[in-house]
Amino acid sequence: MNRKDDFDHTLAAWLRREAPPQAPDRVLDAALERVAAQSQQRGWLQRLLGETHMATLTRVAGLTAVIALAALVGLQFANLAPDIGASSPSPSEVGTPSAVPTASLPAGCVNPPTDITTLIDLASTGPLDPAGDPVACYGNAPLTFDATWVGGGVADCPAQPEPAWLACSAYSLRAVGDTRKLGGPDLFVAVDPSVSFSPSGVFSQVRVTGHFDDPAAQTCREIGSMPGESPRPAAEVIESCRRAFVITEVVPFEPSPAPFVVCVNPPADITDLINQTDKVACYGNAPLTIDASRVGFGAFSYSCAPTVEPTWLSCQDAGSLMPAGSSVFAATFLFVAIDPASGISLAEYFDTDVRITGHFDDPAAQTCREIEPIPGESPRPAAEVIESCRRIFVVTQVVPLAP
Amino acid sequence: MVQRELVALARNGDREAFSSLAASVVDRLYATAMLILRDHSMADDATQETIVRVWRDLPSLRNPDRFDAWLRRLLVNACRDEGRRHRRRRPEITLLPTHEPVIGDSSAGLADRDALERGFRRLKPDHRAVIVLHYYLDLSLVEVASATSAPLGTVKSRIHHATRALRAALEADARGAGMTRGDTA
Repeated sequence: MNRKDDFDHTLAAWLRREAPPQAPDRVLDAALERVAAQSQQRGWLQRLLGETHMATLTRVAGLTAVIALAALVGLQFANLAPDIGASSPSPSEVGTPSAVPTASLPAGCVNPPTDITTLIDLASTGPLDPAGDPVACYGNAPLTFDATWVGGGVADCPAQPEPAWLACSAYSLRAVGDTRKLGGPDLFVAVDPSVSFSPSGVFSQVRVTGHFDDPAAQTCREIGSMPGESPRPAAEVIESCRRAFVITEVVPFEPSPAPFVVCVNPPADITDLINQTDKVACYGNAPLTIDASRVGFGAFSYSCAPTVEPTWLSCQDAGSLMPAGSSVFAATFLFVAIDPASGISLAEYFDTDVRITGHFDDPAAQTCREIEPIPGESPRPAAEVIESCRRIFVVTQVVPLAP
Repeated sequence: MVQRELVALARNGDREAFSSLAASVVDRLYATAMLILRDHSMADDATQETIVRVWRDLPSLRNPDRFDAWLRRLLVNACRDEGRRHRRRRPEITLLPTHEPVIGDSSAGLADRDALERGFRRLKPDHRAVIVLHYYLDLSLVEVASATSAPLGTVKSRIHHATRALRAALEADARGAGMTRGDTA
């Protein structure tokens, strides 16, 4: 670990001080009580091959049979798969159901996937977590869905896996419309080298077709290993490659225009402000008072790109508001700005229900200008920059609500 | 009995060995979950869930030597799930035993601690996780990437932005601003 300065030391010391020295007894007791009622989950391979005491020769024979069976199933899928580079799918084909029978699917498998979020959730359980096995869910059936293209960059793979396009890909996708520079959940994908495509740029909307369990996964191998670790078994390397989603086709996708939302003025609650697609037309710059919960997830933990001045307005690090009583991790937020000259701070109201007064279309929006665009993209027109600033809610008064 | 043997036995269904294994790791799991989630009840649930998942999925762990790395990944996933699932509620106040100060640590004064607390709470849970894994568990960035199932570049980016936010919190406090406004330009 690279401890560079006093800050690193302070942070490490603070974490050590904050960490409870021991878990309450109830935690282990309750966990072991749950464990006592559960049997262990054997993987499909282990179930097929029997328990660990099986003789090696028998295991090899069984494994051969399983591979032959998998090859047979794979061939059948291959026959079903359309040619790469075929014409772009119609919207009705999005989320094409896989040919995998649903009766034997593992828990947590949503087949067909409702959208990219399903695949992200599946992948987020970890590349080797049996609870998140996309191959078990979808086999190598072609899947088509809409997504945000996040682009590539340089992948850093200390284990030097081959083929690099499959095992060391830096490409990723996000949910449609998720253009956050940081913090968005990604689906890391590989791009079949025989496919030529050119997404229009980072955060462009695309319709992708692809599959898990690419045939090339069977050739995966690692030249080296992760620092401090022994080389992974060959079978594990192949297994992780099989779980990579391989894109075979990318076509630009025009998302539907934002649905028209009826203007509710005055707003009944903060949800009306969040949902309103044309905030300035609906509310002008009239003062609005609403009740909300203050949460701590402001732009503080994101980088603000593009850089637009004045930053207090464009890079809303004052914090965010959400409907009272909703989940911090599931709610939609209204990010807000506070003019530093006002002397108001939301920081003292962390996790508190508050009554907020503020307005859209602050006069300062007319001074907004882009200093630095998103890397790799051209600067936005001045009018568009000003328009985006006008849609920001500027807080002018905060009153805590009685608990 | 060493951990490797306990893992091997528990993997084959030995419940007694598993109980010993769970007892040996529960404090570390709970401390890590508590730091990431900043909530006793959620840390309770995430720790319990991790232990149950360990028992359930242990047969899939092929190499007992990789138990620690696998365990961390399950814990981070459990914390992530807990964060998603949990309904928002008021923070509970629990009296904790006073911890002995870390020897030689004279830099984390009360003001710093308050500022770090405020800044840390403002971080996204994924960012808190990388900070805890790197600075508390002292894992390398490669190990953090493995534990969070994220690419190394993403981990570096999260560390960078999280530490920048925390630095800003400390600096704002040092300026006597009384708030945790950070440099987010």
